[in-house]
Amino acid sequence: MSILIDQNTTFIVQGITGREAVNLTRECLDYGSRIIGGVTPGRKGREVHGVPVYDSVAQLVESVGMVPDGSVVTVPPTFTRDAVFEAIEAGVKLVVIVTERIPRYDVAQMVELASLRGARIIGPNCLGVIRPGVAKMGGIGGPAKDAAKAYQPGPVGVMSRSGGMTTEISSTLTAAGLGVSTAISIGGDAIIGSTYAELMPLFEADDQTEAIVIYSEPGGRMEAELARWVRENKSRLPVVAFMAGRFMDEMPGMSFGHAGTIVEGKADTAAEKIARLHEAGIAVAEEIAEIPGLVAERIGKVMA
Amino acid sequence: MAAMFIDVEVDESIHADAEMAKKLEQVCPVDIYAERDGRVAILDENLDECVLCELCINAAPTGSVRVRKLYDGTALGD
Repeated sequence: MSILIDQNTTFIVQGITGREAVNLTRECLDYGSRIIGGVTPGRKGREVHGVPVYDSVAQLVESVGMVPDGSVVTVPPTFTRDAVFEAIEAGVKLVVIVTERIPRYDVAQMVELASLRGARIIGPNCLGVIRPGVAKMGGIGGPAKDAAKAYQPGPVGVMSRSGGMTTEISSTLTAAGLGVSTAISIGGDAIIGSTYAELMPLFEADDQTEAIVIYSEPGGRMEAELARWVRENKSRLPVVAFMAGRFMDEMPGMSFGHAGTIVEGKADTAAEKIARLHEAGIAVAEEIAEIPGLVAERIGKVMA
Repeated sequence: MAAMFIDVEVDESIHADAEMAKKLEQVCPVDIYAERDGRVAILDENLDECVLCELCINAAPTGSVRVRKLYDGTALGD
C-alpha cells in the first residue's frame, strides 16, 4: 500500500525551466523519483537535467506515449490556473501546486475541475509529497541527501500547512527512531486542494501508517473538519497535533506567516481549535519535541 | 545563478526612463523588470520564468527591448 506516490509513480514538472523548478527537478531525480518530462511553452526540445521539455502537456503525452500519474506545477501565479487545467484535462490525476500567491478565485476553479475529473490537488503554496526512501514529488525535504536524513521510513503519516514544518516534524520523528510513512505539505493558503480530513481516508487505508501528526495554525475550519472526521469515522489512527501561533489569541491583529492564517471568527482561533481537537480525542503537543513521545505512547512503540 | 534559457536586453535609450521602468515592472507577469532609482533594473533570478508573452516588447518603443532565447539563438523584439 502507499499514499499518493510510490516507486512507480511517473510525473512531470510544469514550468520546468524556471529557477525553482530546475532545482526541484534535480532534487527529485536524485531522490529516485520518475520525472518523465517537463513543460514550458516555447521551450520544446530543451532538457533540464536530462528531462525533455515540451510546449504543452498534450504534446508531452503524445510524445512519451503515456499520461503521467502526476504533475508538479511551478508556473507563475498568473498562469497557474491554465497549467492545472491543462494537466487535468490531459488525464493527470495528482497535481501538486507549488506556486504561491494564486488568486483565490483561480484556486476555487482548479479545485472544482479536479473534483469533476476525479483528480486530486495538493497545495497550492506547498512543498509536495514524500514517501521516505521511495520517491518525492516537489521540493519537500530539499536536496536528496538532506531529505534522506530528515525522512526515514516509519509508521507515522505527517500532514502540515507549513512546508518547512513538514520537514521539521518529520525530522523529529526520524531522530526519535519512529520515522514517517508519507509526509504531505498540504499548503498554507485559505483554499487548498486537499484538507486533513480529505487525506485521512488514504492514511486510514495505508497499512504502513499507524499514527498521524498534523501541524496546524490559527485560521480556517480544517481542524474542526478533521476532528469531526475522526469522531464520525472512528478512525483507527491516533492523531497528534501541534498548533503554532497560539500567541495570536492574545494579540488581535497580529499576522502569522501563511495566507490561510486569517482568523475570521472565534472558531478560527488557536484556543478554539485545540478544544475541538481534544474533544475528538486528538492529543495536542505544546512543543515539537513532545510529538514523538505522544505518538510512541499511542502506538505502543519504544523510542530510540 | 545565471539564467539558463532567457536573457533580456534593454536599450540605453530607455534605461534611465523612470516611467518606462515602472511600465515594464507593471506589465511583466513574472517580475523580470523593476524600477530602481529611476532606472530599468533586470532581476536576473526571474529571467528563466519568462513566458515569452511579449508584453514588455509591446510596452516599450520598437526595438528597445529584446528577449533572447539562449537555447536557440533567436530573439523576440528584433
